[in-house]
Amino acid sequence: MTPILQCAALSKAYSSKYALSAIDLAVNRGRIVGLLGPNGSGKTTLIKIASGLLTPSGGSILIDGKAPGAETKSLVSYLPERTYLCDWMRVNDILDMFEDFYPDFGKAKSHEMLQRLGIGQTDRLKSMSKGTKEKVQLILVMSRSASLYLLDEPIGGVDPAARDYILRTIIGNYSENATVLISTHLISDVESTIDDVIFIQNGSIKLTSSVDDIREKHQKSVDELFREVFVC
Amino acid sequence: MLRKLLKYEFRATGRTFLPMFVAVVIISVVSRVLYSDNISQALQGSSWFVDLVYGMTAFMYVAVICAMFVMALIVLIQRFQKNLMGDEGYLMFTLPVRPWQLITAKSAAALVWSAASCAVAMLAVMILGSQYGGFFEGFGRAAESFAWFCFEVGVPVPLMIFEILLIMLVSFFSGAMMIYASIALGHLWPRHKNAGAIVSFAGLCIVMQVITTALTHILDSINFFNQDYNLQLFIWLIIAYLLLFTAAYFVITNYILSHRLNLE
Repeated sequence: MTPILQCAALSKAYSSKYALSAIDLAVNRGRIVGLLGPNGSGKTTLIKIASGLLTPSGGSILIDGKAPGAETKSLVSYLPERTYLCDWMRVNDILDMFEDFYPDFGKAKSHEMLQRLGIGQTDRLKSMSKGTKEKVQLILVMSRSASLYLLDEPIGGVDPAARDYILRTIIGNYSENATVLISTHLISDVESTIDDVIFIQNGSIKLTSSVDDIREKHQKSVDELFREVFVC
Repeated sequence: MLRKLLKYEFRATGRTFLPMFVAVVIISVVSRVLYSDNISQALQGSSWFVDLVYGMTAFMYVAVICAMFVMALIVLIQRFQKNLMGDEGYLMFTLPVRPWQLITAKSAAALVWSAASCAVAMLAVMILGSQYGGFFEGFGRAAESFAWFCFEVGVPVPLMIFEILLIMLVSFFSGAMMIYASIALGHLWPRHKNAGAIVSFAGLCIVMQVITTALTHILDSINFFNQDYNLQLFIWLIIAYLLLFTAAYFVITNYILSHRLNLE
């Protein structure tokens, strides 16, 4: 089976600075993958290229064997690191919009999660705090039955209690063949959730491995290995 | 998908336009009542406050109609700039739709609102003008003059109306697409994208002006504008000319959104 995400010599340059330099990568189906790296390492750039929001400077990227476009966007559920909600909407407006555009959107699932996090369906997005907006976005993204979830810093802006719920939601909501790629630098929080890790630094892949291999070969936790690899 | 995009585009913009239309109609009705002969003669000059109300109403009538057209232009720019090239673009460009559908939905909604603004402005003029005897007769005389003009140039009235509406339609789209292309070209600038959009707009204006001047010279050199020049041919040349520019701007915008997008 072809990997859900493949990169070959993928590069992205801003002016003369490389955010990604010729990375080769394959992410398999049915895995929860941690995309781990310090700030400015290229995590967001990689995710945005896969989502079709950035154009690569060189190399190629394939989602389910296809270049990013309208077809891959129906397979990918993307959570950006910023708020993309339209201020004029209420929660039920944005739920309707997702239901209209994504056939894989589960409205009942989203209602359940909203209730659990105490967010009203008629609440205005404009009057919400940044953290609540992030929760709404995560609910939208995880209510889809996508093939690939690209979650850029999903737990960075929310309180620790919500963080646990979000991680449980991520594990509980993805199907067997789906892949979840989570970018974060909060490694200890995601360590028990992820199957594989990708260490990225200065736009280059430093290490790809399963969490089990790290524990067996290095006799270390992912957090410990991360601190060793990215020592300042 | 285009139908769904249009639905959300109308919902996003309707909340700005509909209250504005209601405001124009209300201020027109108030003006019509205040300026009707009986009330006006009884009230005007009775006190400084009444005169102030009259002055304010007249000002509001003109201001609100002007504001409606300014708003139509601002919404046209903002819906592209903010909803596609700003943070909201993170949602719009991850929907399973193609960039041409986004451009089409935005421009089609803007066209409908601009046409509706023109209709509301005409309604406002009619509401205020209806009190004056001969106002509608004036319309009748204008229609007769138009029919006479059509007869003089040998064009059936329905065809002339169709051509005028078509010119208005392609003029709107060429203007809207020029603005979209300018914003898209500005997006290619590594920094100061808004300044890039303004410079691009100026650049496109210059290019259009140069081509227009060159074409006029060519038509002149072949004696196109002689005494019995073909008005029909000239009208269709203008339509084709505007359509060509519209298509060029659309292609530029679609190419940049499809192959050069970099939302930062």
